[in-house]
Amino acid sequence: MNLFFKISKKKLLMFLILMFICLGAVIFTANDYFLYNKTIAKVTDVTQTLDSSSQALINSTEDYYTQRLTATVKNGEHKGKQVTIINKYASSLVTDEKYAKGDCLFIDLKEKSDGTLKAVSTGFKRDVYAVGVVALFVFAIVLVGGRKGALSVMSVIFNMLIFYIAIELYFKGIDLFLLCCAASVIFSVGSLSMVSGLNKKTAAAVISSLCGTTVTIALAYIVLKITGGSGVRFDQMQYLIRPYEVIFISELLIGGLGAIMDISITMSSSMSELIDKDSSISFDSLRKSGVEIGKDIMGTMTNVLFFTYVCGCIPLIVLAMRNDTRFSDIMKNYLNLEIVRSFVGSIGIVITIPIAIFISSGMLKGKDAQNEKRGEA
Amino acid sequence: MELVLAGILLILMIAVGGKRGAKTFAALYINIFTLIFTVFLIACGVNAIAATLIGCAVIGIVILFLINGVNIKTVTAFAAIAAVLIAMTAVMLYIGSGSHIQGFADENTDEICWYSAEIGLDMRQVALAMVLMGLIGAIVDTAIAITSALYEVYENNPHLNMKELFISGMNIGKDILGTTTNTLLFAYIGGFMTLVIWFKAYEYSFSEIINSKVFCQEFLQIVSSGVGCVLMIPTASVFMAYALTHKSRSEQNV
Repeated sequence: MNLFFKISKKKLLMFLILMFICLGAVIFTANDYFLYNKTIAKVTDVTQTLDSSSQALINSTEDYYTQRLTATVKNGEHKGKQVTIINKYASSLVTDEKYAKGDCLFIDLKEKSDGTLKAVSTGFKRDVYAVGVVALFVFAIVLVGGRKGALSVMSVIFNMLIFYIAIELYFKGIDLFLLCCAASVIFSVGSLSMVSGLNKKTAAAVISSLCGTTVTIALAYIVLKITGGSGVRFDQMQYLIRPYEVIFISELLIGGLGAIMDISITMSSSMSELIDKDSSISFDSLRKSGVEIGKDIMGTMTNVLFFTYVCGCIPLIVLAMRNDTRFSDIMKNYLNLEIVRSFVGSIGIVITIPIAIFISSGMLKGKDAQNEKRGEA
Repeated sequence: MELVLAGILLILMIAVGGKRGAKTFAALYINIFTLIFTVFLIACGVNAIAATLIGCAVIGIVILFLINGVNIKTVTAFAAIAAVLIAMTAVMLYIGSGSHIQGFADENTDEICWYSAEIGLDMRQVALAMVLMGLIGAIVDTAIAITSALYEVYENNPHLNMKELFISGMNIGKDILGTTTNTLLFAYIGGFMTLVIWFKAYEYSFSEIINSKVFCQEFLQIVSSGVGCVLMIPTASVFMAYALTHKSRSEQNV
């Protein structure tokens, strides 16, 4: 594979710059102690003792340890001083933390009357990992996708910005669902035109994705109203502090939107490809080809949504199973909610296929018909 | 409620996809079952990483071979998925244990207060299982998209050599990137919304958010799915380019 020898010097330079930026970001966050008001200490030495072992659930043992951490304070008025932190943990680490040499912790420092420092750990410094994976992602996507990859990153940033503004406005008192509807329109127009440019193909995709989303959400809302949400424990939704209904419907709206947009743009691009190759193609054969393409993407897309949603509750299910919780309760409390989410998204995917076929074949073929007329005149 | 939705989904899938639609629906349910069974094995004390990798293999087989049949496209896609999955396991083994995303954070107290935390099971491996399960759907999607598109390219231009096929695979991949990242982003934002509202309501500062366990659990999951998809593009392109050129050579020999 001598592919990489053909890369021009300019490109090579760009990649080197990119690599330096990504590495620089990681190294910076690994040493950004001065940015924090909280005191941070870096563990330099760990001694650990086994306190006790006990019989845990399902024929297993749980070991209890005490760690004595020696750490150097990295910022604040006590910078450079050594402190000792005591940390206790149980071997399953369900809620505990096990620290190792090199870990950075947030600590509370108290100066005792005799001048010695008393330190208590209040949290783990994770920012370097968050920045690290982002750097890895940006580096990989630009390396693989080049300009288009960079554009995808821009589109992600743009979408997150819109989402942030929507949440800000929600706390100003505007209805969340209305905000999400407005945001969906901006999301669709913005990201689809970034992916495939400003043209009629994109317009068809935007209209199809908005129609698909509307139908899906209407359907989900009707089902939610008719069944009263039976079989799903909405009060088990994580981090819920406000009435669930509006938040849940808004989540469904945004959650399915990406997949629906994906289907819409795939359908409209292939429709326009087909029309470009043979402008006299009939609506009927367009519809047939569209359905064939739809069948191909339907299966994998529905699974993308399913696993994306469901994986988040795996730790909770493991914990519940270990505690001998009845299977039906696990389904009801944790899994059904995610399954409902992924089913609504899947309905969106499947229903958008005929909608996108209809709208794109109408709009794109209309364009060609007009062009032909102009050509004749 | 989920049964009503399942009914609607089944009707729609059959209406749009006919027999393949019905298969797709069946595959979805088999995958739900596989996932539950994998989690059950982990809860029984089977090594979480091994159980997850086997679970992911079964899921890949179901999505690829049941829906799309056994052919050069799906077999190559499966090989590419295995390669990317192993690479991601290695990466996340390091990042996942280093970033302490195992178990539950203080914010989860309400949900886990019913249960005993003395479960005698390493939650770090469970966290890894969570991340890997989250990305399997997305990498299967990308893999099959690349291999089937490359197959079409090769059918129309059988004279292409391995390098040309690889480049054309990368070009197809570039087109997929934008939409796939959006699909993942929105799916996760959809699940993220309550958490963001929570952060905002309790006035978390930016530094508190970025260092909190709940945020990092979700965030590492999102980004690692993205990384998996991006890695899949060159991997699937190389594998498919090799498989196509290799296949034709052996056929010529015969």
